Amino acid sequence: MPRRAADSLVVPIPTTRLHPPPGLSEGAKAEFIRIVTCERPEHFKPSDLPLLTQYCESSALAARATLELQRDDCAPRWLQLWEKANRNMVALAARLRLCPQSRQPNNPRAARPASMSYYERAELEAHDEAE
Amino acid sequence: MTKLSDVDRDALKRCIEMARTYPGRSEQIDWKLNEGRCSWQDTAKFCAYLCQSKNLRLEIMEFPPAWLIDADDVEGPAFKGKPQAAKLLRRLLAAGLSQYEPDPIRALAAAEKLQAAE
Repeated sequence: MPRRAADSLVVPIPTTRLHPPPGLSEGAKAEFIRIVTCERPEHFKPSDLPLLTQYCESSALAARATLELQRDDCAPRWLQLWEKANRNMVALAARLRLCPQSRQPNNPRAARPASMSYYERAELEAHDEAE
Repeated sequence: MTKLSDVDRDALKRCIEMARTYPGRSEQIDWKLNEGRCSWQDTAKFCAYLCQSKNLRLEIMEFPPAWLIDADDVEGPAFKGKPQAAKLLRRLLAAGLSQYEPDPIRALAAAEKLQAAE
């Protein structure tokens, strides 16, 4: 019997972490995966997805605006966008408990999140492309 | 014992060097090569397992690419992650890298950067 190709047998590594929803911009997706893999698996619930998605898009937009602002011929709208994206990030970071301030008072002795296997991470990254 | 290519031998040498920096491993490697009477190749492959498992942050039951016979070696229970390891192995081989790269993701990134610069 001929051997089956490696790709035909790839099964997803089970993960309880949130997956990036389809349609995220490239920068937002990278930020999504960075945040989800930095936090404990139980940190986010599926109901947090809309907030987290908006946070990641704001972060990507702020990063893009920062780059634009460094140019000499930058359009003034980038400053407005940068300010709005940052304001959004600050508000959502607290709600999503992503900033040091919102983590500190509750459990200062909380264990560091467990590291994530590369295979699990690759599965998360491939998830969006498969849809 | 399998004949190693130059690419594999170079990667395995780097695996031994890297594994020696891990706590307690240098003594273990010396023991394997001397009293333990393990061959250089077996010891180096053991180091490849140590390095790849650590750098890919694999769970204890997950296979690193170094453990696969070849890129078609994918059969077994899902928790071993052999298909994922095989996928990574295919990427390594396609980039002209060794199955035994101590840090496969960093090596792939460096190879892609080099390719982009050319």
